[in-house]
Amino acid sequence: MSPGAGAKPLLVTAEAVAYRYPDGSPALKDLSLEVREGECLALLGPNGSGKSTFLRLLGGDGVPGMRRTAGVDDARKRWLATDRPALRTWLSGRENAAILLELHGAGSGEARATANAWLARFGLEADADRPAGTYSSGMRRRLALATAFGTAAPLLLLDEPLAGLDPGGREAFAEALADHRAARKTSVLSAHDPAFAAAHCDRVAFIVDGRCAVADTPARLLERVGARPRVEIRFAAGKSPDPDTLGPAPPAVRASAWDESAVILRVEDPSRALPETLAWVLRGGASVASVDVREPDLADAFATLTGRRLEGRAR
Amino acid sequence: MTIWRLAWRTALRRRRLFLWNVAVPLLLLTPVALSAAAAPHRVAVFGVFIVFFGAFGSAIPAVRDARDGWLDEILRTGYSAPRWFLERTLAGTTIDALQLAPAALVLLWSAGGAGAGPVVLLSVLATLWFANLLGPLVAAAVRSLAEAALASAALSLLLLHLAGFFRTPVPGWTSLVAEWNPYTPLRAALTAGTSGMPMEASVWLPSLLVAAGATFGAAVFASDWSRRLRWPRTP
Repeated sequence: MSPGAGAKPLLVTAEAVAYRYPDGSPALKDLSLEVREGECLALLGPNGSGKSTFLRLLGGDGVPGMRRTAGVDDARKRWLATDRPALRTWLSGRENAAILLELHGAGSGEARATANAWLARFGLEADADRPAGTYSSGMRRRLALATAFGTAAPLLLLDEPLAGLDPGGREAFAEALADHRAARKTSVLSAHDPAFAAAHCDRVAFIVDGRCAVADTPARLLERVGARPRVEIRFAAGKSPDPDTLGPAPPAVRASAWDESAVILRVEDPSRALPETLAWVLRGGASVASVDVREPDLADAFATLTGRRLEGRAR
Repeated sequence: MTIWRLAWRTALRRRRLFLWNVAVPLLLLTPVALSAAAAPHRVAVFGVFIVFFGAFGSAIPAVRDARDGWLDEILRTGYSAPRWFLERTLAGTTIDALQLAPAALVLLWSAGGAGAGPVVLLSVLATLWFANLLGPLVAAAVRSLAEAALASAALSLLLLHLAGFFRTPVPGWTSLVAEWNPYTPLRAALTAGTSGMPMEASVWLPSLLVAAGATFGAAVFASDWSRRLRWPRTP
């Protein structure tokens, strides 16, 4: 673990948290992670890595190894927006949001006013009186997020908040998240979008196989893997070169990783290194289908630091 | 009373279902009420119907709400589990009573026992309360809608049998069990309503004590057993 968020006080401490599903299969294995007050913490990891389970445990009644401070030990001070929002499909979006806000402790009038304001922020004003059962998945996500932010809970737990959101929804979510941070409130979210996590979160935790492999600020995670651009060369089917027959890589290539259909290279200066790099792989009789050059991101950091691909398969 | 309002709002919003729930008891009970069937047979039919109406109407939605994650959503808000349970039971009881009211009126009118009206009404309310009470408990013990239906039917029929709906309890332990059975006042009230015989007031106390005890116990431990309603999505 890293004290990446500086001296902010601890809100939740998870130490070697383990959890098994009712069928006995392990979901979390010795997961250790801290959540600090006022930070936005992103959980990044492939499907089945334990992100959702960890969020549910954070929002639930607690498990051995998990300690919450008085600031968030009461259910009224937390809110978990699950990956599959549960709705009363016969009631309108406005009614769904207002009822959940009421159950969370708001008065009837306050709940309705808050629901109205947040539904408008998430672009659902025009559809607020339609039965929630007629909402698309993106609209359901917006409704769930509007409700979550409407609670103004000191600790927001958001499971896959970006799933199904269109660009407008992502923008509304990013703004709401920024306001939440500005109010010195805490959020923990799971995501599959490293760019969003890097842009909007204070710290990022890499979750793999039920463990936290590393947690730090996006900048420090990128520093750990170096700042070299990444070149991905994809080969036409059956036209990949044999790396063993290519000879030594050009000097500009600092690292390479091969698989059956592509090679990922770390290079110093793509504009100078690319011609000689392409010449190098073509020497082996390869047929290049595409070349992608980009700056390193958290997906690269994830791959380097965990040895797993972020978009990898579940357990 | 958020859960109470939610239950009523949901019931009234589903107008078709609400009307079906009024029409079906009328369609099923009216022919029996108007028939020349013997009073014990009519009492058995009415009893089974009323108890099933409450038990199924409570257990099935509880399982569905658990499966959909809605109960998890509600209980995660920090809303008190005992409060959720009591409000839900009260709402279910009153909604069921309203939907059964037309059929109950036909039943009383056909029996010519309008004098028994108040005790029949009270016994139906008490029965529906207990049946609604059992719904979430049954749901917490099962894993699917089918299991909930089977368990509700089996439990209801057993309790109805022990209350003497199908066979007059003989002196001994069966009489003792019947005396403390929460559905016994319904049998006694329906018998009074259909036969014109007065109902013994003494049947109320033991049954109501059991119902009150069950309500208290279930409410006190609601935080514990309601966890089982939060499957399968909650760790």
